[in-house]
Amino acid sequence: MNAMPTPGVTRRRFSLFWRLTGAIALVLLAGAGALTFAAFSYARTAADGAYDRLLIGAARQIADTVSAEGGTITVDVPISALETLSISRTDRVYYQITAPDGAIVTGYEALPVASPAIQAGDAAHVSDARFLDQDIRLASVWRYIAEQGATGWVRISVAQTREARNVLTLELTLGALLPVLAMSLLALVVLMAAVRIGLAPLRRVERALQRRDPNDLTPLEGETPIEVEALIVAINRFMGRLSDRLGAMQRYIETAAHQLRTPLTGIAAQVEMLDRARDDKARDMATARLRKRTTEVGRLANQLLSHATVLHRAEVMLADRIDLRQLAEQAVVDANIDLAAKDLSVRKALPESPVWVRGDLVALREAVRNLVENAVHHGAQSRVTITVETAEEGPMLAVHDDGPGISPGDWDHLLIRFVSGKWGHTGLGLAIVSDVARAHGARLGIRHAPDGDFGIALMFPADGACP
Amino acid sequence: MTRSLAAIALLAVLAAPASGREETVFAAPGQETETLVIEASADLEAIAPLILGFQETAPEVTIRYADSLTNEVFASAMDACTQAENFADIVISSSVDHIARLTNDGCAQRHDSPFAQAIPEWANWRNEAFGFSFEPAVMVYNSELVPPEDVPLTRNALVELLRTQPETYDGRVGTYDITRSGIGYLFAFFDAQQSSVFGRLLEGFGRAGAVLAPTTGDILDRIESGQLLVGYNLLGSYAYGRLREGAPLGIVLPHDFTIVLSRAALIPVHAANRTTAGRFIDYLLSPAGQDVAAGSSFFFGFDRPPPPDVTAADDAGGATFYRPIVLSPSLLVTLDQAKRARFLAEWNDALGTDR
Repeated sequence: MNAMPTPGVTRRRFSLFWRLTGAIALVLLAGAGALTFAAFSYARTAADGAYDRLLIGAARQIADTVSAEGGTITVDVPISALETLSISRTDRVYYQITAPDGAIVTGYEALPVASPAIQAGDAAHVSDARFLDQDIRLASVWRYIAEQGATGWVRISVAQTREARNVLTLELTLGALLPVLAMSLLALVVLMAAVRIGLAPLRRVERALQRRDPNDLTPLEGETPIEVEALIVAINRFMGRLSDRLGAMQRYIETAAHQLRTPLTGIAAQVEMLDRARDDKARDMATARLRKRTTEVGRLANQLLSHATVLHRAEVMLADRIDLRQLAEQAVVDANIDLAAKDLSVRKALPESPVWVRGDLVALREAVRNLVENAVHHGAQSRVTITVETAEEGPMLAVHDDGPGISPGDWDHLLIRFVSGKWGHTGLGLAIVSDVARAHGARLGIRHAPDGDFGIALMFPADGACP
Repeated sequence: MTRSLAAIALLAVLAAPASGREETVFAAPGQETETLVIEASADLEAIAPLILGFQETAPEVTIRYADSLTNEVFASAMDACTQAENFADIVISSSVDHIARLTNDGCAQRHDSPFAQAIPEWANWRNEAFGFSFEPAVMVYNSELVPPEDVPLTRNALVELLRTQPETYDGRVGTYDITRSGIGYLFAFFDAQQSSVFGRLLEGFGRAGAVLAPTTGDILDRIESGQLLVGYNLLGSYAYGRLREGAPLGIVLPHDFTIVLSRAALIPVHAANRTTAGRFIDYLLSPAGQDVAAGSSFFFGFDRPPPPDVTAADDAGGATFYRPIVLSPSLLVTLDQAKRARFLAEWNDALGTDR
């Protein structure tokens, strides 16, 4: 039984564990992505900060050499300034020195220096730009020259490409990425273990179910966490119903077999008597008895089949909306009775408006038919009355007859299935009604009509009724 | 060498008279399938062995080699770059400031050579400009006329020599005319950056009436002839070439420090034949190419001891204190016109070249 897991079991295990793991992995991945982006932004800022300082330093070195000679701005670009920027050995370097009147003193003329909005001053200004198809970082510093004929701010702009910064940014980002990845992986492993532990009760339930003998329908036991409790309760309730159903079937089959065996034996005896009959009178008598017997067996078989039907439907949903008045009308048609032969009248006492109950139409029809047949065959002297009313406690359907009735002592006895009392096989009919009543949450009870007729009533709960 | 001489004998030499641009075609030794165009400012004599060596590894390549003045190469390359036109597959120049400027302006394309690690970091910028030769600035003297005790080993010694023996050396010392020579300007500029001795040296040259010439060759001619006794800041490779051919020269790598320049090559951004250009760069940097450069072209090389008959601080190891001119954007400074004018003015002042 538990040697090989069936495909269904494997699929169920896959979905729970891997779905949780997948969700966790997604969350971790998103977190790692966000952290990486944050690290990248930080690294870029840090790299820019470091290299911007070099850039401004170089610009200031050049600024120190700015002078005015005879009204002309001159600059002696120190090689050390550019050497500072050449340390990385990768970046290109550009510079431009502009006189107060805007004339370019020396350097790259097309360099996109700071926009005019930027005010000259003692503070350095750094910005991003593009030059010669490359991203550059451009720093400008200003130096105030006060000489005859050349007074004002001289702008010194120095730029470099971003290669070294990008390399540093990448290095810093990768440096941060590694711990992030390691932490994410660790978290994933730990959480996977946690999920596995968390799902262990489910696996225990599964294993317990697998190990179980197919005939064992007792409730599952053992400690279960709150989240799984509902599942266990549901399983146990299901097994309880299954167990009840199986028990009922088993009992039914046993009794049905027993019930059929006796009349069949009787028929066999009647057939033998028919064979032995010497004269016509004896033969007629035997034939009449045989006919009576076979009729009885036929009715019994019908009842057994009816009961089987009810039994199968006993626990289905009470889905139909049923008018008890129609049920009463139908019952007279359904009933297997010969009113003329018995000289009986069947009356119906029905209200004018529909009396709705919720229930299973087939089962209720069987129940009412059995009540009617029961009254006709085993009690009624001259009349049978079918009454439908809406009582205070709920809808009610009752079948009365003017027969002797059933004593309270016999009543309890009769509700137990298949008991044959003095009413012959009547017990079976009432047992069917009792089963149907229970399935509908209705009560089955004795009711005495005002005219003294004995009756059996199906009393439905008020909340089972429909408006 | 025999093979290369024979090959050179077969060359078709085309002269472009106006600019002094000379084009030489090295026909493919094998079945020609492609052509590589090199625009250079470098003596054919020095470059030819490297071209022939390359053709041994690539016999299907015909090479058109044009030699012009450094300024012309720079101007043409810059023009082609801004106009987005093909100019050459390879540009070679000893004016490394030109090469640096071209690279800084995005006029070179990147080439990831497998041999890029073989050359020192200072000779490779961005994998776009590659220095492939090792050319020290040396002091040269006439070994027949200068007594061994007079041979200057440092700048200070040269200053002292000029100061203490004006009767011998006045008018008989020579150096580059840096107003007319790009490489001379670079040597002088970085000399001045390196130490203050250079200032005193210039004053000494001024007092001694130093002879100025636009090329190393001119000065070497005069030293060989005995007209000059000592030359300063000359190209070591040229001097050693003369020495090997038996000229009466002595070569000193200044012991205080020796400025070193590396001729550089780049692949222009709009080069037509960039694949083969890359192969040529690879060859220049490869051990084979470096052997040829050190053996037949420039006689000095990266991480190699100097030739044995050169006076270095440490003959065995060549552990002279080299100060390389780093291929980097700092070379932009040497191209700064204001800076240049200022430097030349100081230089002229010190030398008294108004005469």
